[in-house]
Amino acid sequence: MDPIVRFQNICKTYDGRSQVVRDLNLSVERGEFLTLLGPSGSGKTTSLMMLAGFEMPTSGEIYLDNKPFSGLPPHRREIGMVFQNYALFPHMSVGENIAFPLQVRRLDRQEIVTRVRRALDMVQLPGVIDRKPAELSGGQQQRVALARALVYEPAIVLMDEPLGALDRQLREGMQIEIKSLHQRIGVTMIYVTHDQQEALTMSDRIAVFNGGVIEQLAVPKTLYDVPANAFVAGFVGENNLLRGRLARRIGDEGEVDMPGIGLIRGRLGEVAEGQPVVLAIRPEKIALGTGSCPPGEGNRLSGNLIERIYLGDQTKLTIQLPDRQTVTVKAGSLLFDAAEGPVNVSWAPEDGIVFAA
Amino acid sequence: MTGFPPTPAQKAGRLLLVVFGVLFCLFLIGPILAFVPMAFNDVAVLHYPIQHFSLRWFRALFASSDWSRALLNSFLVAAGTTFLALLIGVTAAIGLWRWRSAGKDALMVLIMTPMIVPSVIGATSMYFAFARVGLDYSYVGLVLAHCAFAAPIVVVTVSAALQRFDGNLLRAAASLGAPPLLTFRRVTLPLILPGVVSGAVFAFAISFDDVVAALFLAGPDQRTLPVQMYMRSGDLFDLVIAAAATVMLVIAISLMAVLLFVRRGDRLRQTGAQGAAH
Ligand SMILES: Nc1ncnc2c1ncn2[C@@H]1O[C@H](COP(=O)(O)OP(=O)(O)OP(=O)(O)O)[C@@H](O)[C@H]1O
Ligand SMILES: [Mg+2]
Repeated sequence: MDPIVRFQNICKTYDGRSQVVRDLNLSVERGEFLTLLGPSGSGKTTSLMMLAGFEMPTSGEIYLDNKPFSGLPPHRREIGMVFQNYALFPHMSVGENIAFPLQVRRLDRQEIVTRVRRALDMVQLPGVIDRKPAELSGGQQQRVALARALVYEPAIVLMDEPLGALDRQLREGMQIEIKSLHQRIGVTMIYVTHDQQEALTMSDRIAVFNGGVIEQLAVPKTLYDVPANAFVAGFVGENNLLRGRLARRIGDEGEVDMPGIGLIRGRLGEVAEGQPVVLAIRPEKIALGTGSCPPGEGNRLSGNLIERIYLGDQTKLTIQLPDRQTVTVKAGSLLFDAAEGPVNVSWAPEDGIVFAA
Repeated sequence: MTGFPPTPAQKAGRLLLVVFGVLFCLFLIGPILAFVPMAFNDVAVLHYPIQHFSLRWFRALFASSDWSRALLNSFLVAAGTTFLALLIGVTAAIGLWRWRSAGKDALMVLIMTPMIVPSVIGATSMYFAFARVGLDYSYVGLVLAHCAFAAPIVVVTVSAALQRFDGNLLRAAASLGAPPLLTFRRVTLPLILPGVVSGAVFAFAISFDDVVAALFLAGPDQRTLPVQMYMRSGDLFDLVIAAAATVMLVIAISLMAVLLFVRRGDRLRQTGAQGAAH
């Protein structure tokens, strides 16, 4: 199937010197929920703004339905947009806000009334139609913004950290709601966040941005289980990144030499022998053995338990290795009783991944 | 306000403030209060107390073709000035607001010059300049001159309103399909309206109040009310001038009322918005 949107060799610089987006190539599939995930300043908003028409690419072209797009002014692009600060018109009531895009399109009055009601029902906000935005809570305002962006049935809806201003509980509720809305109406959604948990929860695919380039574009599970490089491994989910040197390749595994610790085995990414590498291992994949309790099979390291953090359902333990690197282990809350001092950790070789440093 | 009862020194200070305030107000509006009642006096001398209440001076004002023409001229010129100053001032303010780069402050100061440079300088220069292009002794010339004084204040009031305007709303409107002019009419203008109305009030007042530019630039046909008053101020037995002053005062008070109304509404809206946001 043809992609609905295609960024082709897009570069963007604001000041002529620093490249905010570098040679971006990205295809967005029709109807998918694509998330742009990345640290602050990585170019996510800029990419979105170029698609919406509020910024011009310095070079390259954006295609919508295979037609070049960059000559079109924003108001002719038929792209819905939800902003972090909601951007509701403060002088209009909720109903007038949602009716605005329909009035712009000169629909007849009866049709507008029907559609506004339907949109409010869709975001589960009946009964606020005559209120002003300022009389609503943050979560309600964001629902209105969502309704306004969807009511004229654009093919694409962009959202730039729409839940950033909400508290955690509300945010999680809205994540699920937006996701199910997406599944119900089949609109293409492009969503920006720097919250990796949010990205994993909501997305069909995630593009991980870093310094203006896409480090990896994949479905959430692949991103989590098979990160393409050390950056993605460190950014998506929690990961221990242990530094060493690749000593030997054995099939699709490699042996990493860590001075003072020994050889550790892991799955190989694209690295050559002798190169400095990082080995990524997730905290929840590490087993902890204390005192008399024997460690598991595979890679075995000994170290010192130096910190315990109680998380309620889990305990987060920090262990210092002989070369002063630390590993974090997540384990059941029972382990909160573990005494500080010498411990063993172990994990299966296939759970660790070796990347070029 | 502190919660403590005031000390004697504070009480004395407060009393002094009240006394000073009253005296200052008397100084400002005392002459006006003394002059205006003359317009209602039946006798043709500046004399107290008023003997017979009468509207004869007002009747004379509206009956005289000179005076009523002057009143009409003042209104026409002020209306034209307000319209033109709004057109220029609002667009300039929005342009400045959207301007990201340096040089903005310098430009702002440049725009303010007509407010700072003595108006007699502006008026004389315009007199000579307009004479060259045949705009002296014309409505257009007078409106242009008043506009030079009035447009900067519109820029100031509208800029102040724009400072509280969220630029994201323009993007939101565009993403919803609204072309720029529609966005201006339905989103920008309603939200900066208090600034626009204040600017309009000031522009109208500046034009209505002007003597200097009108003396230089108005011919007999364009003579405005203040100029007419100035010309007739020598005649102590013709109190039409007091009636004219009263009319001007009423207009000024109406303008002030509009201003007060706009400010109040604006403040209510602001506190309302803040109150609900928390
Ligand atoms: N209008 C602008 N003018 C100049 N520089 C800009 C502008 N907008 C963004 N930048 C710069 O471009 C870079 C990328 O910004 P962008 O807003 O795209 O990042 P982001 O990924 O959205 O980050 P965040 O998560 O903080 O929102 C930043 O270094 C920023 O300073
Ligand atoms: Mg951003």
